[in-house]
Amino acid sequence: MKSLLIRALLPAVVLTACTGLLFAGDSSKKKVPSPYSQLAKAARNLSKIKGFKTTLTVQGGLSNTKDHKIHQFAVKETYQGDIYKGLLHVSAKESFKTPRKGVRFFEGAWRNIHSDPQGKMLQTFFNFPQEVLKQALRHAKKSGRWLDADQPAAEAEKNPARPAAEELEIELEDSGRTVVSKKPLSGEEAEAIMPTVMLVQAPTREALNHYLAVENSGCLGGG
Amino acid sequence: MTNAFYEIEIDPETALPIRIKVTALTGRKGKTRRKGNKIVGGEHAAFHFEYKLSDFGKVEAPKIPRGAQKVLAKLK
Repeated sequence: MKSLLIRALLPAVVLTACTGLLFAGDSSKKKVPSPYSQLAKAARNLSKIKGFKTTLTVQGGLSNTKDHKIHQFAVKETYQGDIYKGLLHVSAKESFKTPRKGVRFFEGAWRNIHSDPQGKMLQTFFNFPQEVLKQALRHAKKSGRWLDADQPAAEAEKNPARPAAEELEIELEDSGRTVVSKKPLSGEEAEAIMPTVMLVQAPTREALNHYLAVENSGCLGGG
Repeated sequence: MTNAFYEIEIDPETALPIRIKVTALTGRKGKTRRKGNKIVGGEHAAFHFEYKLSDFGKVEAPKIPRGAQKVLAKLK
């Protein structure tokens, strides 16, 4: 009776253990968070930091390619700024700005940043990254997706020495059978293959607002 | 026709954004190729704003000249 019970229960116990391992392997894949949650976390983390450096590159004009690369430039600017709390300092342009207003030193005095074309462009183009993230976050739930979500599998194929998830062989006792399972990834491994680049699509209305802002900056020559 | 999208890169170690790219596109009637509501080629206006973020927590409060402070305070 006892041996019958052991014979009946042992395979069940072993199978349960193997199923657990199989699911543990899958759970490492399921660990990939949603773009929205990662973006919300990134925005929250950035808001906690008092100061950081930002380089902004603006390129605008006409394109005729699928990747929207500019072939005829209307604007090509690079700004370097230090952001500290709600203040941005662009030393090369002798400017200080907040998200809504700014001042610039030119013609020997501090003036409203909108008083000259250079300042106007700076105020229009150089938004606070925190604000840009907030805008993106509004649409991330609906349209956010990882651009490099397939990277782990591709990387594993490229480098067989470091597979995305190692295979684990478990031999069932007395049965002569072997179950192949996937070894769960460690926290560090899972982090290493986590996607890092996301794309968030904005609705047409917001796209139009972006374009109008560019047009109002005067960089297109029409004022 | 207008399109806009954000491309955001997050540092997996710090969970901080390290690159934010905003792209705004406007089509030209009869010249732009589109697929549904998306601009996929042909002639169109494109604007790319790419922010690269670094030196987190290493920037100190800037010293704002008194003249700049006065003008800034007057502005609405």
